[in-house]
Amino acid sequence: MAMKKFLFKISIAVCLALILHIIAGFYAGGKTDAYYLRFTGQPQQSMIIGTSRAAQGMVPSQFNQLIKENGFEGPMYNFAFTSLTSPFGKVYLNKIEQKLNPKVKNGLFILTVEPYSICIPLTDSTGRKAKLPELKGALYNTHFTNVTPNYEYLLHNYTNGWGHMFLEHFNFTVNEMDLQSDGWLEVDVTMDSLSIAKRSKGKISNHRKSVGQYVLSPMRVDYLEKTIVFLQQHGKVFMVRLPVSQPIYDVELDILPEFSDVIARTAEKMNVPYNDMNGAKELYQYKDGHHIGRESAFDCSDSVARWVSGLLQDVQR
Amino acid sequence: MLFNSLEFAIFLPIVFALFWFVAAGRTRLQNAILLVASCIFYMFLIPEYILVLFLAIIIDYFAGIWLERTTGKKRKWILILSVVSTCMILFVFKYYNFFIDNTNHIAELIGWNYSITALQIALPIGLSFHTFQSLSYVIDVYKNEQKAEKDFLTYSVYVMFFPQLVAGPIERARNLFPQFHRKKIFDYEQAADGMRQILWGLFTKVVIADNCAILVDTIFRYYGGESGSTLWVGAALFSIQIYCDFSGYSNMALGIAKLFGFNLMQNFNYPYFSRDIAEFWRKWHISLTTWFRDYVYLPLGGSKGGTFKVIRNTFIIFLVSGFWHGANWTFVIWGFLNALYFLPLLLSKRHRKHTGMIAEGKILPSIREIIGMATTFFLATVAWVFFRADNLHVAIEFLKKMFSTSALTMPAYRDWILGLFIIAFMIVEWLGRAKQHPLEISALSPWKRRSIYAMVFAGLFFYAVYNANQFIYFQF
Repeated sequence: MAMKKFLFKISIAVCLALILHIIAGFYAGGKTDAYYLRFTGQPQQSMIIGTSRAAQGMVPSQFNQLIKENGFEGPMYNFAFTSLTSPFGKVYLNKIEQKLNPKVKNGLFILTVEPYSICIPLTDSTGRKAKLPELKGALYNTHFTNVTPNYEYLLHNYTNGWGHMFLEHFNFTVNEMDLQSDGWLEVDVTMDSLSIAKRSKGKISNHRKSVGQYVLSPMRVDYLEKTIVFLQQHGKVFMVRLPVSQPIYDVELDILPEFSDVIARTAEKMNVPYNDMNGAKELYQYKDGHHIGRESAFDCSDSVARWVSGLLQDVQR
Repeated sequence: MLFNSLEFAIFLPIVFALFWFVAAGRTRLQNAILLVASCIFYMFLIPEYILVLFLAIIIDYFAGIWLERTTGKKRKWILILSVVSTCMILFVFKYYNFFIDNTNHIAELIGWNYSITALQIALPIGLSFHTFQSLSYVIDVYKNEQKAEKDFLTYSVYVMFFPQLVAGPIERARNLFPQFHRKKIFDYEQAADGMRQILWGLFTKVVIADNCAILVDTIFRYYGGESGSTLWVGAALFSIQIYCDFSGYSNMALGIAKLFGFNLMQNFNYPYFSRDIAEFWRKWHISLTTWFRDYVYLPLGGSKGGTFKVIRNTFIIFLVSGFWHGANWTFVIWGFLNALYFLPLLLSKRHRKHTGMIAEGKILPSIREIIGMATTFFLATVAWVFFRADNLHVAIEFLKKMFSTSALTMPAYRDWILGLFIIAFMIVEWLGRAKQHPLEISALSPWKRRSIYAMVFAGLFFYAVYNANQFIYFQF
């Protein structure tokens, strides 16, 4: 009798909690976190691939005119994450395969590259041999990629009480990040010179710590090629190195001096057009030296779209 | 496996069902289920370390039986052998690298070309806890205060009982063995109270401690660029974080044990409501404090003997306690500071001035009591800086800034919602200070109880942090 009473009361409490959590799942959205929406919705036709630079710096809507004019299947979708979760490798390629509609034959794919996306760390924070960073995180622990709401993702990756999703949805929380339905991660931070300088100082210092800690990975280069091969089966691939501030660019030269050569060789081997946008890095404003600012993201995306358009026109001629 | 993880939310009901439905009325089978469950629980972290745990179990199980069967001087040697073997495991995993680092450092200072390589091994989680639990058993058997346990299953589950396996309370054999032998009958009141205690423990961990941790981690990482006032915020929040983290774990451990019909010892008794540091130490991590009292302090002579002996014993117990927490000079200095705080009270024989409950029978404390509590919190907070800092240099620089003029500016971090939660938490703790845990509310009417549950649940639902932060005391 005592056990029945106990189980009955516990069951009611658990059911109520479960119902609330299930309802909360429906309110998960762009403010939930930086990735959630990319694990929901439908498979995509054209995609931007890369790390956080592309996630924040490539605005998919800026490519839609180009897609329309050239008969690509669209619209464009930003499926870039971070250098820790989405460097080129098995984990990221699996997710790209899941997110891309298998029926697509003429998609447009902007593949962004940076030193971190083809490197591996030598040691972890405790000095031991590092494991691949992508082996923990959303891309690794979430099996389903096109489900709404994605409870599996939320269970594994959402770090707040689920009631927080209501607060985020109804704008009761202050959120600098807002993941758009096209996958663009809109980050709205104060862009006065003092704030930029403070953020850049921290970022540069963190990057400097990486010098000597990373090494070029043949496995990653191999997966970069495999990713290109896969995407080429579904459309046209263009490779871009997005611009960063001069100090970050200099540190990246120290981290991986051979980066440009490796990428140039890969582009040639895979017959993929490549554009290093750092020649015009002063045209853009950066939040922290590493990520392009919100306004510049539109300009930078336009610039990439114009470059692709120009190449396509050259081919047509 | 963490108590605040999804895995544990699945694991616990399964073990509960097996314990009460499959093995109902069969004590040995229930103990076997608890042992298997404890192994699974432990192996979720680093599976191979279960072997280390079993090695300690085997050593002390046979040592206990051997001690009971032996008479004369030989007993002492058996005790020494057992204690040394058990402590050796702890030494290898926890202290070896510390000694090697320091030896190498001293060798370098005196120009001696001497270097020993450190071991690249991780510390088995909760090693210090189950080592101390095993030691207390062997010492009690040696002192004829405890009969040796002949049943290997019972002894194993005593050491491995999953609710208290990785962060205590450090139980005594005399409390737990009878409970493992007793036939269990499901008690609704005990189980319901266990659930309430789990709920409160979870709230303090994931709502208070883990939200404090976000700010504390940032402030301690970037302390160099922060003002003294911000560092005060960081230090005070760490005082709250460590209490909520560890007492939260203890409350969950006690609550989970109650679901299986076990009563574990109370580990915290509202220590921040202490009027002096001596009272604080009677109320903080009680199972460890009493362990040191019974097995270190009293055998050394306690507070009997001359002043020198009293001072020596006080420093020994606090320094050893500090060193128990971690192989780092920061913990030793933390212990040293607490000894310094404690000694004046002991020497002036005022260390047992406050043994009763604070403001007993009153709603609010007196001004004198408030000053006493504030002073205790202040002293504890200063000492916690050493506990939290990565090394002595960081701790000293941190404290220098805390006591600089920049402490008079406005702090850079202000989280009003967290502040409100902390105030609410303190009020609930104050109101429940006479009980084992503040949610001991079975005497209230059902609707009042439900309202309280709803408020705690709302806190969990809207403000919890579930980033699988380990409990701070797991590392010890």
